[in-house]
This record gives sequence, C-alpha cells and structure tokens, in this order.
Amino acid sequence: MRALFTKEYRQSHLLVWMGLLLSALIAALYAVWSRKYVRAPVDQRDLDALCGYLLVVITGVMTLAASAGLFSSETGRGTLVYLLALPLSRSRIWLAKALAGLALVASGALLLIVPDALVIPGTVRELHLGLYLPDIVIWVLLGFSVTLFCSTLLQRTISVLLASAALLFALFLYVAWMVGILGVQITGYDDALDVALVVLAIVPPVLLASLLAFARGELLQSNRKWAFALPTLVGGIAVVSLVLLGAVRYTYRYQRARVERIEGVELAPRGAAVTFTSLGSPAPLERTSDHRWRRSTGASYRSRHLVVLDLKTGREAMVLPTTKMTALSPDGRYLAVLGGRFDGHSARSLRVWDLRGRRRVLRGAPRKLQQPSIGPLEWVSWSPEGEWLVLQTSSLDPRHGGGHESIVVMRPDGSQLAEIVLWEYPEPGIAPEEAVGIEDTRITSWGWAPGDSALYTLTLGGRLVRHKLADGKAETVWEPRAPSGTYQEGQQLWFSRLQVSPRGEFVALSVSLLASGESREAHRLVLLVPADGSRPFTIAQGTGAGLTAWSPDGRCLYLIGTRPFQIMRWRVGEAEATRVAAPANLEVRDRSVLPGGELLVWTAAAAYMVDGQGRFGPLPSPEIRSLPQHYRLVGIDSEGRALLSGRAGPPLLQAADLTTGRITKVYP
Amino acid sequence: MSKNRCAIATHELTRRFGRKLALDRVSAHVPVGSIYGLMGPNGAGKTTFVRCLLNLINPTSGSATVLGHDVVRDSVAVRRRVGHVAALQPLWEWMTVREFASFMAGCYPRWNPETVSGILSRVGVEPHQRIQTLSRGQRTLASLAVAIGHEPELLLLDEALTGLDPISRREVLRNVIDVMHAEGRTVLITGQDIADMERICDHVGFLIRGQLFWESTLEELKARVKRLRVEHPDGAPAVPPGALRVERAARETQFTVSNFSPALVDSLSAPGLRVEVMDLGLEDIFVDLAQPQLNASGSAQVRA
Repeated sequence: MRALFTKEYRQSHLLVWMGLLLSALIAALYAVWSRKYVRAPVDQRDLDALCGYLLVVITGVMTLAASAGLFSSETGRGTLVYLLALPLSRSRIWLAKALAGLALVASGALLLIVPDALVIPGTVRELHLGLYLPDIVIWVLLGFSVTLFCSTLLQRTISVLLASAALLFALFLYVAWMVGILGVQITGYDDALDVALVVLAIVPPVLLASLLAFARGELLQSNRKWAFALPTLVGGIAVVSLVLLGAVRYTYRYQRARVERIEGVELAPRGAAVTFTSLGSPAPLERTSDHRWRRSTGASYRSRHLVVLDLKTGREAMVLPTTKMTALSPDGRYLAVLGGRFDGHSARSLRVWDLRGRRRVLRGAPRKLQQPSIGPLEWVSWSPEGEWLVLQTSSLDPRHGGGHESIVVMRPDGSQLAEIVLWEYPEPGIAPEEAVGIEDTRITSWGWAPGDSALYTLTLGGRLVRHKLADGKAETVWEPRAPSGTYQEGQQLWFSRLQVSPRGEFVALSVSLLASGESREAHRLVLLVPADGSRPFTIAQGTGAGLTAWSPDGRCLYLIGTRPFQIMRWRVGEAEATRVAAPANLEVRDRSVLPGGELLVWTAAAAYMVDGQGRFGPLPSPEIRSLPQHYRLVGIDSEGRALLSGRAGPPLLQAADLTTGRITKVYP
Repeated sequence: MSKNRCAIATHELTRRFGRKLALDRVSAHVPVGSIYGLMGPNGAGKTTFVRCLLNLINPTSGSATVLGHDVVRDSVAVRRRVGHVAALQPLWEWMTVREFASFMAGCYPRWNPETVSGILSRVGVEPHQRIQTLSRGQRTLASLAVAIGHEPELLLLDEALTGLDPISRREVLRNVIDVMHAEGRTVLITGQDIADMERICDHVGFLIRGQLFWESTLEELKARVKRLRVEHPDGAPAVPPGALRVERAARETQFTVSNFSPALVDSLSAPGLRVEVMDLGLEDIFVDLAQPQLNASGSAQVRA
C-alpha cells in the first residue's frame, strides 16, 4: 500500500510544484504592486483580497486536477489491469489512491497558501483564515470526493472534470435546498442546518459510492460500476440527510426544552404573533472578537434561538438559530429576516418567510440591494398594512470618509425598490460624528400614511415630504418658513419624532429648540401638521411634551413626558392638549394604547390607565395592577389582552385580560 | 484429477457479458508443474478465463480455485502467488524500468531482485530506461521479468509471447518458462502461436466460443487425434464414429478422428482397402478439431 501511495504521489507531484510556482508568482506580483513600483489604481485592501481569493481558487482547481486522474487515467491508459493484478485488495488500492490524492491536495494547498500568507499578511486577514479555514477545508473535501467519484466512473480526465463540475453544482443546489427549504420544513427551524455539516454528511456517501464502484466494478469498463455507484450515492445521501435532519430536530428540541431566559420580546403590530430570543444553558466557553476561546463570562449561552410564537395557537411558528434582525408583518403571517449565519457585521442577506407554510416569499436580497452603493442592511420593518418592507442601510466608509445612510422601501417580494437617502456625508475625510449639524436636510424620522399609500419623511430642518411609492412621486407637504421670531438668533430648531395619525389627517412632529453649540434641549413643542398642507398648529409646549401615541381611531393623541412624568391628551377639534392629572414621580417603563383608545401606563410598581374621559388611575383589578412588579408590558395582542414577559426567574410569557383580570400562560 | 494436484481447477466456470457468453461452463484442470497451453481463436474467451482466475472479473456462475485458493474469496492470496503478463499490457510510461521493478517489489511480501535484473540483462533491457522509450517487445520482456520477481508458483502468460521477435521469444522460453518448469512451478500460456506451444507445453486445452472442448496432455492428444488415409479401389468406406473431418478423393479418403485406437483401424480394414495411420502436428490437430466447432451453431464438447 505504501508503494502504491508513493507511486501515486510521484505520478502527480508536478502539480504541487506548479502550486508553489503559482504561489511565488502571486507573491511576486503582490510585492511589485504593493511597493508601488507600478502606479496601479488598486486599493491595498482590494489587492490583498484579490490575492487571497486567487489562492483559494487555485487551491480549488488544484484539488480537481489532483483527483481527476486518480482512477480515470489508469482506466483510460489500461494500467488498471496491472494495478488490480497486484496482491492488494481493491479497497486498499482505492484507499492508497485516495490518500495520495488527499496528500497531494494538502501539500499543494500548504505550499500555495502558507508562503503567500507570510508574504501577504493581508491575505490572512481578508480570507479570515482563522474563521473560514474549516469551511475551505470542508469544501475542498467535497470537491475532492466528488472528483474522485467521477474519476472511478469515467475514463477521460476531461469528462471527469466536466462531470465533477456538474455534480458539484447539483450538490450545491441540493445543499441549498436542504438547508433552506427541506431543513425548515422538517425541523421547523430556519437555518438550523449548518452548510458545513451538510457538506460533511455528503462526503461519506460520495466516497462510499466511489469505493463500491471501484471494488465491485471489475475493470471499470462495463456498466456494472454504475449499478453500485449511483444507488449508493443517491441512497446514501438521502439516508444521511434524513438522519441528519432527525438528529438536528431532536437536538434542537432538546435544547429548546432547556430554555433559561427569554429576551427581546417583540409583538406584531396587530398582536397575532410575537418574537423573542430564547437562551439555553450558559456556555462554559465563549469566543472573543479575535476568534479565541475563553472561559464564559455568563453572557454566552449554548443555544440562542429567535422564536416566532403564534399567539392564537400557542405554537412555535418558526425558530431561527442566529439572525441579526427580524420583523413580523402586521398580521403576524410573514417574517422578514435580516442577516444570516455567515453575514458577520455586514448583513446583505434578506429572507421573507410565510409562516403558515414555512415557505420563502423572498429568497435573498434583490440584486439592487447587493450593489456597493447601498451599504449593509441594518434594520428592517413593515409598513402598517404589510404592503411594504423598509430596510435601513448605512454605507459609511471609514477608509475614505463620506458615505450615506438611507432607507430602502420595497414590496415583500423585492419589487418596486426605492431608496430614500436619510443622511449623507459626501466629503471624504469627514467622520460621521463631525458631520452632525452641517446639513439640515438630514431625515430624522419617517412614518406611514394609512393604507400604506405614502411614506412621510421629516428632515432635521422640518421639511415634511410625502413619498407616493406606487408612482415614485414625492411632494413637500410642509416646511417651516424663515425664522420668524418664535426662537431667538443663535438657536437651532430640531424637528423629529414624526407620527402620522391612523386616519391620515394629521402628522404630529416634535420640535426641539437647542441652544447653538449645545446639545442641551432648551424647549420643546409638538406641532400638528394637517396632511393637506394647511397651516400647522402647536398643541403642546414645554420639555414634558415628549413621546406621542395616537389612539387607534385617530381621534386622540397622547403626549407622554418621562422626566418628570406627565401625560397630555389632545382630541380632534381641540386647540391645545390638556394635561391629565397624574403623579409626577411615576417612573414609566412601558405604555400602550388600548383598542378602545385608553392609554395603559406600566410603571415599575403598578399599572395605570387613562380612560376615555381622560382620567388617570390604577387598574381596577388588584392582580393586574401589581403585575408590573414581575412583568414587563410587551404590548396588546389581537384579543385586546396585555402580553407580559417575566422580568426575572424562569422564562415566562403571560397574557392578562385587563377587564376580567384573568391571566393566561402563553409560553412555554 | 485431484484438486490438490491442480494448480488451476475450474468447475463450470461461466461468465456472461450482457447477452454474450464469454465462458460457458468451463471445467479446466491445470496440473501442478505443468506447462499448459490454452489455445483458441480470437474471441474464444482466453483472456476472460485468465481474468477470472485473477478475479479481475467475477464469474457469473461456477467456481475456480488457483493453488488451492478460491479465486473470489481469496483473490489476494491468489495474486500473491501468481505472476501475470498480458500481451500489449500498457505500463506507467513515466517510470523507468528500475522504478517499475521497485514499485512492484513494494507490493509483494517477498522479492528476488537478482531474478529480475538477471532476466532484464539477458533480454537487453536497461534498468534506467524509461518505459516510454521501450519497444513493444521490450515492454513485454520487462513485464515478464518483473512478473517473476516474487517467484510465483503459477505464471499466467496471456498472449504474452505475441509481438516478441524470435530471439526474444526463445530467450523467454529458455530463461523463464523452462526454468519455472524445471523448478516444478506451473505455467499457463494462452495464445495462437501453436508452434511454440507444441514445443513447450505438456498439457493443452482448446477453447472455442467460450467452451473448453478438449483438454489433455499433449501426448494423449497426439495419440488420440490421428489422420487415417484409406485407399479404396472401389467404393468409399463408411465414416468411422468420432470422425472430425472427412476428405474424399477418387480412390482415397482421409478421416481425422479424435478417438483413435488400433480397433478403429481394424474396423476399417477390409479386403482391397489399405489403411495408413498418420500423426498430426498440433496445428493440424487444432484446425481439425476447431473447424467443426466453429462451423457448428451449437457445439458438443469433445473431452479426453
């Protein structure tokens, strides 16, 4: 077997030297370009990345070349008969050849990558070798085994290469299907299957099929080899996949049964579903930012899942192992997922799931979102009717300065995409924090008109614009005139916190008066701008005129100041908001407007309500009243119940009927 | 013949390639220490038979033992004790002859380099020569030299003498086959060079259309297959039983029989008839035996 191994290695060792030669060539090119002997318009980081990816591509090609001829060359030239007449079992011959091929690939890859990594430090950084090296190894293993498989079945090297490419493509599609669709259908967990795990599960059946074809395929010239290879390949992959899916399903269930904490509870706008992060038992080790392991500080958990819970059925509609950001559609049927397992800090992937059938409505971010001019996706939300998806992006470039932040609005299927720039730093060299205050055209907030008919944006300087997304038109609804004495010279107005009324008649704006050069707020007022563009009017003034919340019927607007606690209430037809009599020392934790227009106030100690008559008081039910001591208010669900999550102790989601005082366990 | 005394023993060995029957219930027995010539026309199944013995291909049915090992179950043990050379067998072109020998040496538990180098020097193949620079005959000679490096108890030469010039062939016959025979080892030669076969073989087998229709010692073959020349002034005599071939002339008829015995001559003898018994060379025997088989659509086996 050793003799055979040596023979195989010697037969193809030129490939290794070719790898070394290419490596030296890349290193030399890099040295010339990076020392600026050539004035090439190439950024150093781009050059690093280019060299790094070149190394990976050459490694892949070398893998295919090393394994393509292992068996096909023997069959094609006729030397296989000689080989098979040796006093070695076929499995040992196969093993010797496979090991020799693997040794070739490994030594070639080492000779290729290590010298270049030493010469080009950036290569290591750009490739994130520490992070991605296992993935590279796994994909090389897959390429090697697939080519080995094809080499056992075909007699010409070129046929082997073409067949390998086709089979790799088919397997790539299979992996995508298994991870993205089948895995979710069977396990109920999005992204539950690690791509690397699936690839590793495919490698053994492929190798086994190759071994069987060689061991039972006689001289590899008849159709007999196919009879062993294909059923083994297809059946093996199918069986391993099912076992893997079963194992994952069981493992995740096991992990889910040991939830220790839940956090980040978010309710769908209409209260039909809720998302939260469930955390399993603390991990003994955690990974640092420089990819090292250290003893856990208690912030890491063995399992961390984002759970979507259907509040009507009480079942987990979907579970996502890791994501950057999610948003439930208003009716709780669709889930937008931003970022994936491999996105890191620059999320580019976007998926939209239909939770009813666990089908993907949107399989990936549209091509327009992949353009370099649009930065990584940072935040996602839905329009009130679920007609539009809103994504916030940032393309600030620390290398060159400048860049912009924007929102991208599109249909959930990725069509009718439009970009609205929020902030722009056009001048290179100006850091974002330095740029604050230079322009007053920056958009501070935005909100939706009823029926998702339009999107309102508000600039820092107070320009209110209505974007009709369906036809792409934008019109200025209102903008402040030149300073007219309402504030003194040297002071600055800051418009923010846009809130469109549910009927679309008014847009509430918060206006802060800042002393020039200071960030301290001197004065605040709340303006109501009629949607028809007529003259706005002030409904409240003073530093307490803070957060605004419309009642569902749009007839009433609550203004809530937190320090000191203060509630003001404005009703349609009134000239100004009236103050609700409430203690000033309350510390408000949460608040929510009930379907009937009442305002629910959740403090650290008790729950209060502002009723339809504008009267402030504690909730009548003593059980409900004291709930804030143990629970945080998440929101009001579709049945009008207050959804609560435990502050401490075991993970718990409860729903409280505010009129009857009945409390129901929701999760787990 | 006892299996223990057979280097090769097959029992109804059958191999089918799709619809084609390459070996049809072949039951062959190659005695230990013999030089067995397996003859047959092109496509008779000789190479398939050899490949079955090495388990390079599996029999469809039947069984075979080589040196006491079942060829399917103990194929590695068989190959360890058997040397194999095939005609026009491609080799690894990039190797030198020495590297080739060294590679083969690493694959066998025992190896005698002197045997290999001795034969190579006698047939004029330099060890440092690359295989790609060797002629077709030299490659066969190199293969042959390397095939006996592990001192096999059985040597399978599958048309290995084909393509060799007369001098090389004589060297092979003298230095390899005669030496092996002298040491009591067994050689199975397949091919169509009947003159060489007749010179060196002591056992022969005829394979036609996958069927082994004759197997015996060469001596027995020659003793049983004879040509009878009958001169008859009047009517032609009746065809004796077992006649393979009948040639009639005006006053003379020749019969080739496969079951010659003095009694047969007696049965033909009659007043006025003169019977002459003629010995046949192996080539004539092969042609006379094979022709009826090739002409017939089906074939009945003729066994010794």
